[in-house]
Amino acid sequence: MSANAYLVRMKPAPASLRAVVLLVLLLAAFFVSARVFSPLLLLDNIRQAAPLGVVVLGQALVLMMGRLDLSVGATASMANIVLCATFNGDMANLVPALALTLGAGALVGLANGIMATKLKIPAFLATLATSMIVAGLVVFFTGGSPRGAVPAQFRAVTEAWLFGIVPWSALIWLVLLIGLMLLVHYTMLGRKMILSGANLVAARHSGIPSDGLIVLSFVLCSLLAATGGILLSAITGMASIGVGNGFTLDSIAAAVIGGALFSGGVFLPLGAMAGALILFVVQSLLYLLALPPAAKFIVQGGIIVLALALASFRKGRSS
Amino acid sequence: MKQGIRMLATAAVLTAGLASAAFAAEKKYTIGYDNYFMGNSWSVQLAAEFKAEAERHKDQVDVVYVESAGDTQKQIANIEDLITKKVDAIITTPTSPTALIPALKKARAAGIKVILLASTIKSQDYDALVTVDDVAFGRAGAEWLVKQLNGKGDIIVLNGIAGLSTSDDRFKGAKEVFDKYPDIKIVAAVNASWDYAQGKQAVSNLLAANPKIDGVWSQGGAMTLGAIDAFEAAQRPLVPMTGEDNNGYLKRWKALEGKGFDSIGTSKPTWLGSEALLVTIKLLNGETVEKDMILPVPTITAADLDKFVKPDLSDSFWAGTRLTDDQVKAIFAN
Repeated sequence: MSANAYLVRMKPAPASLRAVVLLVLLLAAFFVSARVFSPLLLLDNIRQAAPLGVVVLGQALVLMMGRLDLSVGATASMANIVLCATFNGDMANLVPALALTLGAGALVGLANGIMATKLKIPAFLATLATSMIVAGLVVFFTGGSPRGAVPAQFRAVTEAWLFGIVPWSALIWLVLLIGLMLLVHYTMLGRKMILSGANLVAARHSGIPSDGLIVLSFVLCSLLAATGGILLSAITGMASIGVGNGFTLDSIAAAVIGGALFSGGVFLPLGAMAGALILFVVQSLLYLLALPPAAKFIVQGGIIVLALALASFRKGRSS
Repeated sequence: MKQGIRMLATAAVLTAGLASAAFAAEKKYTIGYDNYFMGNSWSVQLAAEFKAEAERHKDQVDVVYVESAGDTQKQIANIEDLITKKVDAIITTPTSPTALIPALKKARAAGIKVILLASTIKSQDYDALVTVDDVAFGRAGAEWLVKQLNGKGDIIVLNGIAGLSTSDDRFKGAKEVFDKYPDIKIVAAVNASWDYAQGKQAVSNLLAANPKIDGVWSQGGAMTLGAIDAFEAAQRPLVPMTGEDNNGYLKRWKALEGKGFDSIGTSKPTWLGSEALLVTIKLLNGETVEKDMILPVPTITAADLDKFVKPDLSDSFWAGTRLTDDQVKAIFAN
């Protein structure tokens, strides 16, 4: 492939750009209501949005395969419980804590993938079922009173800033984003995944092992959901049941705002990032304006409608 | 002969034992306890307090436990089930102020005493309500805060979820107090769902937008923890903040005491679970009890913080307890 072709693929998709424009407008409103323009305030919001942002990347990946993962919230919540229990407040447990948490996440993804392919259960039902099982297991094993804590040193992952200007969690988010972009858009494996998502029948006829790729996307998604749960745990420092449950709906909303399609075949990491930031900044803006939480849902719903309307408006004109 | 006497004695003891057992069985009540939710540490401890009290009265009561898991439909079905089982009394924590009314009506029509624990319904179809007043909960923190600020200052308010009676009532109580002081200005009142991360997000943004914040009134310890961390991240000096009686918060407060941080821990005590059983037994014995037992809100101040904070227990433990240290350790050992 020529260097030129690489550059062409680097060009962000229109849907991603629309999400970025929406984000910029929102940030303008945000800074006006904060009555202060400070890049540090923006970076601080990016830092806190990272857990959601990482989960959205996974959701976008599953959406690319034409599926939906309703278990990301339960998986992130489980990651918080498992991480705190295995860490038990001691940095010496770092390796087993991370390994066990990510391992449990991968298992959830594997279960989702196998149910969605081998057992041919529609993905949204299969993942809904796993989310219930996972949430039930958490209550069963903790008896409702979770134990342990994240050691103070580990909390630097989300609380500390590199050179005092770049939050570590933002860097982790960016590295995962670039990694996924390279995987999907620049490797043969990724291109086979896109093709399977866009047109499963055609992909199978071309001898692509689509089922395996779908399982892979679910495993990656659950791993990212567990990572989001780990980042969230670093922010809160404590174990609490159901702490990541809001990620399920937020991740779908953010991915869709960022240009993901339920029909599959599209992976827009930049859009996914902008979508997650839009949801997070909307929340911050509502705090600044001290609006009731009902307003959050109305504004979120409005933004989704706006993003989708813009997309179909563009499509209508070009066709 | 000796043998005969021994046999007689044994028989006598046996008969006496049987008679007293029969007598006890006659007096023993069956109580249906609806465990409304097991999803957070407060609700877990509430149920544990009840169980511990039931254990202390096991010669008087038998308990049938049902689990509602925070689901109103399931709670209604559970109450119907307890009616069929002909229990003497039902203790429940309604998850809806209205949906349970028909089922509770039916229970009372069947002669079953209905005791509401920690949450009420919008009708009079119960025999006793055991709770603390959330309006008073909000008032207690607000009065303390106003005193710390000498009746003057810009404050932010961290509420739970608008529309839920707990959140609205607590804020109502606080607002009554703040309204009496024209120099207390609420610069922002936000809803952060009693959640640490949301509290932190709200406060860190409010700090950036408001160069002057003199106090924080929060109606939940987790949100106050988020506020403390947001102040520290923004390198702003800590201001007086209201908190709650959960151990995680008390530990943090203890650690910050040396840095001049002051707070108050208001409490909706989990020992309400134990109180509910005592009230139920009184009701079944035919004693008169106050129908609405709205208990005063216990508070923890800097003066008695050391008495309540438990450094060796997990963050999810709640200090307003009647459990023994051993029982607490079994549930909350870290």
